[in-house]
Amino acid sequence: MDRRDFLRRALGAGLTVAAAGALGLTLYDPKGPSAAGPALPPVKLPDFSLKAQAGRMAVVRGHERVAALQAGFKALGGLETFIHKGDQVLIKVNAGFATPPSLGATTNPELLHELIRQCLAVGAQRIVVTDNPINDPQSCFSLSGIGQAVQSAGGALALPLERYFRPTTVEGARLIRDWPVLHGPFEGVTKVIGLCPVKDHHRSGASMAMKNWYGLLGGRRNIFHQDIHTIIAELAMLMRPTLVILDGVVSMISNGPTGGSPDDLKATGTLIISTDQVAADALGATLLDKTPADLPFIGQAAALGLGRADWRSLKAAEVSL
Amino acid sequence: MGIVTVRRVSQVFFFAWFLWFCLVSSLGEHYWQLRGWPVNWFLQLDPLAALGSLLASGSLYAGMAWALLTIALTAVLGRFFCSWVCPFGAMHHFLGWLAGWRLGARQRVERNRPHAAQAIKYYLLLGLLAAAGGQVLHHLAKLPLGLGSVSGWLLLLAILAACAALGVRRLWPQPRQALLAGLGLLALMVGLSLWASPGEIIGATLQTGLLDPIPLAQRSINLLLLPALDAASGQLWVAARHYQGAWLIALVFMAALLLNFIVPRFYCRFICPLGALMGLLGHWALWRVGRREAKCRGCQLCEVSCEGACEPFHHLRASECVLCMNCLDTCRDSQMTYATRRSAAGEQPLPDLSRRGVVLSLVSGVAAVPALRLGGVLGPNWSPALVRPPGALAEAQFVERCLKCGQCMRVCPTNVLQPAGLELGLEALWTPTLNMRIGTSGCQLNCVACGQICPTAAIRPITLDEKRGLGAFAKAGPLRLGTAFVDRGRCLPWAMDRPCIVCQENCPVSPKAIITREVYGVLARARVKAQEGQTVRLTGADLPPGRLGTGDYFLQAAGGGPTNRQRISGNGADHVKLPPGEGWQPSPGQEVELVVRLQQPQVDASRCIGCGVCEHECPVSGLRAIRITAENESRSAKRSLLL
Amino acid sequence: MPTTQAPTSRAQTLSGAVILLVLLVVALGILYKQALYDPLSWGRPTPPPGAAGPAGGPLDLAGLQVPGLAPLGPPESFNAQTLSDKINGKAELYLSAGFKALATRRYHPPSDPQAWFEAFVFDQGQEQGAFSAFSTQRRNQGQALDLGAVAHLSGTSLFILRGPYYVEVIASGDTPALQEGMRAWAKAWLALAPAPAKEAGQRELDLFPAEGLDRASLSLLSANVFGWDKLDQVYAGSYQLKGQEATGFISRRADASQAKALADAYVEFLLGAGGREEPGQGLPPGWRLLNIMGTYELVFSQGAYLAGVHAAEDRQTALDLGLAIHERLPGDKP
Repeated sequence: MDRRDFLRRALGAGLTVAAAGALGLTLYDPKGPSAAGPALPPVKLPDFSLKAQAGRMAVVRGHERVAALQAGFKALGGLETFIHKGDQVLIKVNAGFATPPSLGATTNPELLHELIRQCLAVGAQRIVVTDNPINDPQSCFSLSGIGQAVQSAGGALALPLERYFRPTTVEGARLIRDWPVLHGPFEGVTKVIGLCPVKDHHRSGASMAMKNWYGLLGGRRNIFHQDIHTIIAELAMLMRPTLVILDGVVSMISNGPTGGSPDDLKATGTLIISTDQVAADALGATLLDKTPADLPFIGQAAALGLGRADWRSLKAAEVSL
Repeated sequence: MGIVTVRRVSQVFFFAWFLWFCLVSSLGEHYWQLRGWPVNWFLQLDPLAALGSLLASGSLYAGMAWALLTIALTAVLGRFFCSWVCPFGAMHHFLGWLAGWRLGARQRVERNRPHAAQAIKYYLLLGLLAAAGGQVLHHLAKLPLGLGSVSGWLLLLAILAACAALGVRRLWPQPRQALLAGLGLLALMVGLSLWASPGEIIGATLQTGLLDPIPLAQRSINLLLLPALDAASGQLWVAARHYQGAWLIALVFMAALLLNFIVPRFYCRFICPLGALMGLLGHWALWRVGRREAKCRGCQLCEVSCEGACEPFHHLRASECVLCMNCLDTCRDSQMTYATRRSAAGEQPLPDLSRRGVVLSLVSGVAAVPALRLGGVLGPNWSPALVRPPGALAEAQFVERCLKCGQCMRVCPTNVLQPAGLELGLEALWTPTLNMRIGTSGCQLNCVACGQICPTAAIRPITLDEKRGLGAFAKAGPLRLGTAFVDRGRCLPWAMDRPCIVCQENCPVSPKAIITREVYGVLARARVKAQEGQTVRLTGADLPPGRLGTGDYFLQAAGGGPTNRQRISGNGADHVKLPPGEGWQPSPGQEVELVVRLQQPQVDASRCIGCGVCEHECPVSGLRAIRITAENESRSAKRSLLL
Repeated sequence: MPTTQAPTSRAQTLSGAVILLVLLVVALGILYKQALYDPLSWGRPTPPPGAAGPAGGPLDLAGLQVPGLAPLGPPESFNAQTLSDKINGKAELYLSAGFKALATRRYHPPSDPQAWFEAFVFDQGQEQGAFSAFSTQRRNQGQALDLGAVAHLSGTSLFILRGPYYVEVIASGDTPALQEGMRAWAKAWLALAPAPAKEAGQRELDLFPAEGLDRASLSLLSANVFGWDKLDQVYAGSYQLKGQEATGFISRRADASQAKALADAYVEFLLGAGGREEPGQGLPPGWRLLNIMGTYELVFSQGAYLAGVHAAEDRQTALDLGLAIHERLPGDKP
């Protein structure tokens, strides 16, 4: 009995030593951790642009957004040129502020509603609308009317949940390096449309199609305001959309990007649809009585080969309602 | 020579080494300085420190592998460490003896009765390890997601098998229950992983150091005893050492020691989580204390000085025996042995632990981490006052490794490295932070001692090149601990028109991270009455006699400008003296201004490394006019300040 | 309850002996470990790659072979930017005297592996700069060495002045083995550094009157002389005249007008610092004598030289020494 007990204990003690030794030696680390910490696998947003449709643009003059959108797509050969049956479409709106649509600081809900409706009409399988706004996300989507527009049109709203952000490095970029970017809503998405109003912006001069991607950034992103033009150009590197739609039917011409008073708005009667976001912004600048040269980010993006600063060279289809 | 004598020799031997290591942990090459003394050896021998940091960080850092030796010896011999090696145990042993030396044998036996509360240390151990094991749980919870992999299936099968084995071995009362528990656990894991990402809330924190006797003793001697003794003798340091919040460290240390006067080895019996771990590790120990025969004369002398309260006379609590060997010594009939067979009087492996208590302490430990962090201390609400030493890991990884042993604070040549107090959060308690107001300087440019001594690499062992951004690290630049911010409302040249650029002068970075902008502040206006040689008499001015000749004060024509300004070389109440030579000279009747030349400091955040030398030197002695906070520290990209 | 001890069993004695043996091994292990010391890892600067100077030159300590000495680690080199890494606090002293480069290396004599010394070779650019560093670092109780150069040994340190180079050798102790090693090193190094025609500063040093002069005190002060930031490149020597102490000084400026302007400005500085001008009777024209907190300062210019007496204990000593210097100075006499 004593002997059996002893053998059993010897086995137990031996296993304890062996387990501790195996665990210790497996996880033995003679050097210590590196400065960078555990490396995360790199993630990248795909290129959503259609090569065959490069450099296309429609400019609609009129004061009815819904009609303008319809006319614009018609001029480009119909939305089906860009969105095909079965596509999963992500619409990046500007829902930056918890303000009512009448103040024009956010994407117009009627326009969004119409866009979703048309996408579904040409056979899109699923529509996701997202943004990482500046104010509280839930308040932003509900007060701006965007949430309701998405729901009634049959799209899905993707709130910027913390786990949706992944550290991202844009190749060739100086600022977007290992920075949290909103990836979650892009899961399965095949087409991306940027939809935003034309707005004055104190720091950068204007907030338009390219600046709209700022809402994909997470983290303490306001650090980038120290070099606003470079970050806007890099955002255009980060996101190559299928289309951008720049709503200059009413533009915010002062106190941007928040505005706050109807006096900050001006009816500029122009809706721009383009596959070239740089050209769209270059034209949008004129609505704010600025030239592309006043907005260094346009030149920077053009120099990076992301689009054309000379929007006239695109031979846009121009429509007047 | 009796075995008890040998034990005493061993205790004194290790205690003396421990004190010696604390004493010599000063940078230098003399034999009484750091040299190559293995000053971390006791921490490295500590299996709790090793297991805790291994669970939390997923790795066993360099010297911590020494703990494997302790584990192996404990598995074979039992808790030898407690009575033969542990320096804290030696202190308790001595004080417990002191407390009982005039008591009668009967009373002493009474004091050494086993107590139900001896189970507490096991609950503490499980709670602390559960808090450190969050990372492991996180991985386990994520496993079912990777079920496609063979290893995932194998692990699930292993868990099931372990539960079944527990049942069969009757460690779990009913085999079916064990199997059900295993299945339930699996279902919970699958459910959790499908429904949520637990990584968001579960995390690991290493808090064993709060109660682990080796870090506790190391910290207490390093931060209390040595500074207190040196304040009297002045042998170790030039200036008296201070450690903020030392009272709390002292409270724990003194309480642990003084409780020996209530029950000997109070700490070891009821609190010590390391003792509990060793009790478990020694479960199958080959040698153990026990009675040779079932019958003896029953004098109970064996329990007169039983250190572990393990009741060798009755029913030995095997995990409580600290191998003091006193029973072998006191038994008149050589009944007590340390042998390979079990005690003839019977033994039980552990004190009575309730399953409920075990589950509760595990759950509390796991839950403690999110509870500690819900305040956002690792997220948006991080404390900028927590300025970590150079090479410190990012905060989440740092708290997985820091033992709170105080070795870094001990070795820091300037005393700037301080134990964080409770105001920086319970998790950060007694971890290193910089307090520029204490010590002889900020963090010295050419010193990496804290990272070299850190036993767990919570502060990485960086080279000077890495710290300073030289050589291979030129591209990464120097390590930044934070950034200096000038408080313009308190800074003498900004707020009070007093010349002072002490911060700029002392900035060790080259080129300097503090730049100055030169301004001339108007102190008084006056009119020139007359000029006699170098003396200019003024009307409408009441000057402090003899105070303006310092070189910082100038006389200039009203409106100023570099071409009509002269340095004042001396003054009386109504006149100033100008140096001889060419340059602007005032003319009688002219409106003039007395101005002071100020150099107002500004920080160039792109160069500032946050060393704190400026804050240390700032003459505003209370709340400094230039202060370091952790913004822009290298260890966290999320806290960067500049592009 | 009386206790009677049972006799100690053989097993106990044996295991006790084994344990004591283990403790002994532990102690030896610790003692062995403490000798393994790498000071580099604890915060001394890692040497930048490459030597401070060309191979075979006085700064190439990697190429310097010294018989009977073992180098302790690689040579290190420093420039004006990194000098303070090596010599914290004193860097300004060398920088103000024209510092160019520093090469250092540690050695130990094989007979005593615990002892070591470190050689510092400073390239001061010019002979004046080296002399300045040499003279201001000089210790009082030095023992001159016969090495064919200006060199002396003081306690644990050996100092050499050779052309534009100033060398300091600092040892961990003053054992004969170390001193022997330091001498051997100095001899080997001097072979690398060609001797200049005449050591620096001789021209100015020869101008100091010999009576009462402590020759070992002669030094070149490079910057911030006598606490004034405008005064530089001043040779100074201590005197004892009739039991009174004073310091004589001589500084050669670019031309006579600059020497005059500097003398005037220096007097202004002294006045600003609390000096009182003494009545001028008995003084040669242009000489200024000041009393500053009980000691006397004499300042005058003569040709391109600014000269005078610093901290004389009484008025007469200041005047006597001033006149003696005046006698030896070239240039138009007042």
